[in-house]
Amino acid sequence: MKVLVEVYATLYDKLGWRSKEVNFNSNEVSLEDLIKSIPDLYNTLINDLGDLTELINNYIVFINGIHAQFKNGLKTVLRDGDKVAIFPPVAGG
Amino acid sequence: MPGGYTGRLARIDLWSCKVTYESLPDEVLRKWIGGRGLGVYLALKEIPPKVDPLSPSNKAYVMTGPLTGIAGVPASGRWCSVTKSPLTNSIHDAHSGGKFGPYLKFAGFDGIVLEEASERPVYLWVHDGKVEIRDAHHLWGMDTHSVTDAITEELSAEVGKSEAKEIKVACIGPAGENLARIACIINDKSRAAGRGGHGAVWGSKKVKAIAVYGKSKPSIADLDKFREASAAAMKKIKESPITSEALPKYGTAVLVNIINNAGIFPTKNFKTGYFPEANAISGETIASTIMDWDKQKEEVCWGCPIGCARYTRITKPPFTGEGGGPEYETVWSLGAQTGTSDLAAVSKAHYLTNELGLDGISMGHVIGTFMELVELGKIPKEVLRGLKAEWGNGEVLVELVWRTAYRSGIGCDLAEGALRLAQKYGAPEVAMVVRGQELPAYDPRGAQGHGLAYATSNRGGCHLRAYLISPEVLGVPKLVDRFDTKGKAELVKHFQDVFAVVDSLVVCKFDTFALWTEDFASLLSAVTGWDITPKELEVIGERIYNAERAFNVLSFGDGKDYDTLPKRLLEEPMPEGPAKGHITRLPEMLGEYYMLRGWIDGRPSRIKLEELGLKWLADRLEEEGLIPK
Repeated sequence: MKVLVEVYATLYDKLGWRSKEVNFNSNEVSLEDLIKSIPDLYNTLINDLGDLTELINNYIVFINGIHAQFKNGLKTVLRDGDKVAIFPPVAGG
Repeated sequence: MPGGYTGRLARIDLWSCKVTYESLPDEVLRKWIGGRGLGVYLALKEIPPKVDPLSPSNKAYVMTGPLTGIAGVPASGRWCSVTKSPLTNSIHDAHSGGKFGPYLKFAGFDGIVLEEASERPVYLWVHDGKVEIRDAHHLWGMDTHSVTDAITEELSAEVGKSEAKEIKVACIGPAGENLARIACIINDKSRAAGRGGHGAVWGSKKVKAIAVYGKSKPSIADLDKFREASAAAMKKIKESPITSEALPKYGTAVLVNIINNAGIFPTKNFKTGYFPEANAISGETIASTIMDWDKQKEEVCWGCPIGCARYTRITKPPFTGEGGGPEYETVWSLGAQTGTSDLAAVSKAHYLTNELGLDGISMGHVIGTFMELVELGKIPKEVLRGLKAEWGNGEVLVELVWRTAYRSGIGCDLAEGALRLAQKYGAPEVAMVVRGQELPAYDPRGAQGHGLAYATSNRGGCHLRAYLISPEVLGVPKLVDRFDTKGKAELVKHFQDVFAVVDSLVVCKFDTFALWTEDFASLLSAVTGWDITPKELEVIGERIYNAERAFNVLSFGDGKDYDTLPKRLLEEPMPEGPAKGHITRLPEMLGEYYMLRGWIDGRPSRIKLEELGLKWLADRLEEEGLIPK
């Protein structure tokens, strides 16, 4: 299956890419699996947060536009065609 | 006198050209603080609520607050205009950053009251504790940049050329002169007291500008306590990744991609919440393409440790220009709302709104309304005169900004705002407004609490009475389910009351991403010498919110009939994206909101008003037969 990952704001600056399509052979892939499968993303997040478990409460992570908190957090099982968007803390108005 | 205040208010009778000075009692200051709060108090005492906002009997208050211009208070470089709005007929406050606010205080004043109307164009020269009324015949007709430069040049002969940069000017452009109901006041060339048509009120009084200059710094009552409170507040601002990283680097338009991803980025007049080309007008794109980082430093507001300001430049014809901004709200209104993804066209239209003195939110919003009316075949061909007002047409976008400011052709109708425009052409349901004010850049079908905040906003469609996007989307201070209505009434009331305080202090709302009532209470106590608690601040906020609602009840019978949203947002499900299928479920929240407010059918009760020390206001409503039973 295919999952699209997009990163924004300072995360984009650090990684140098905005979106990436990731292919998996398995259909049992979690949000955590997805992040761990992209080394530069995983390392940057660990560097910023210390621990991946901090991601959900400190960054804004959308799975198809819905906050990961209101799914199953890092354990959320992804489906073919899902879009994951990751934002460092941002605000405006 | 408490610290933080100058203790002086200048009252200008524009008809007789008389200037008088007065001070306000300490107990009034403590009850209403300053800015928005003091403005609504004075308006209730002085403006006949049913007055035509563009008549001489309306008044315009140019206000600071006790924290304005205090070095060490984060983001205290702001000022506030209060008047009865020609757009909404409600009491209305509009806020602006830049440098004008602190310098008004340095010139020796907490505020200026504009009364009556002048026979000829004038500007005010406010300096060293006095106000002079000067002829502005030669300035009438100028855009905001030209008039700022002309006044600065004129007055630098008096203060000395080396001091010219210390003169700060707030002014109106052609839109205000032409009484456009969406005209704003511009200060420091690119900062707008934007919403509600305050520029038209100045225009109706023939006030072209106010120039301020002075060196008098406000006193601080308890310096030791202040150093402590200031250090704690600054630490929080610096430690917050929002105020220390995202806003300085990308500006407010960093929100474009997140709000679009959430499916609540209003597109083509709120027909949908997803704009496929959003990234083209995002903060990330602006930062990497059209930013001038050197000039950006000059744009930052006085005393601001955040620095979200933008300065941009577009160089490729057909659209060329430069200036402060654009911000999140204007890239949305002139972009997604009109279906335009050409950043150059959006930026050009944005520069023009500043130069001509138009509220960028309302301007883009109204153009979107107009484009939908055209799409629906509501605008006769003879009115269009060949104008191809189609979604995404950047050339037309720019032309309509010009036309609106000068009330040229169809621009005359656009200058009246979205509601009057849609009513004139027989489709009032197309107007996405609350109390006649155009909604800003969030579709509440995917943020239920934000919908309640829109509906109950005393100044009409506004995101800054209660920014529920913060908890519902951004997770600040804590994420709540944006599709749930439970608990939202309480959150909205709390945000409304706290934001009324922030607007009265007068500081920037971006402080609230890192600071809250306990921080503001510490800062205010140290500056004024009062021993003020967070709870007292919340009561003050509640008093202000009730007073505003009471003014509106007296003005146009405000109440439950006005606490609503456009039919599209209440009845038409979002057609696509993460919020697909959702409407704003306002009835689930409104009853609880009234209960928490102590209101009956959207009107303050006598019990509530007396609890807030507003018996005189309850008596007044009673005399008019407007107190709910």
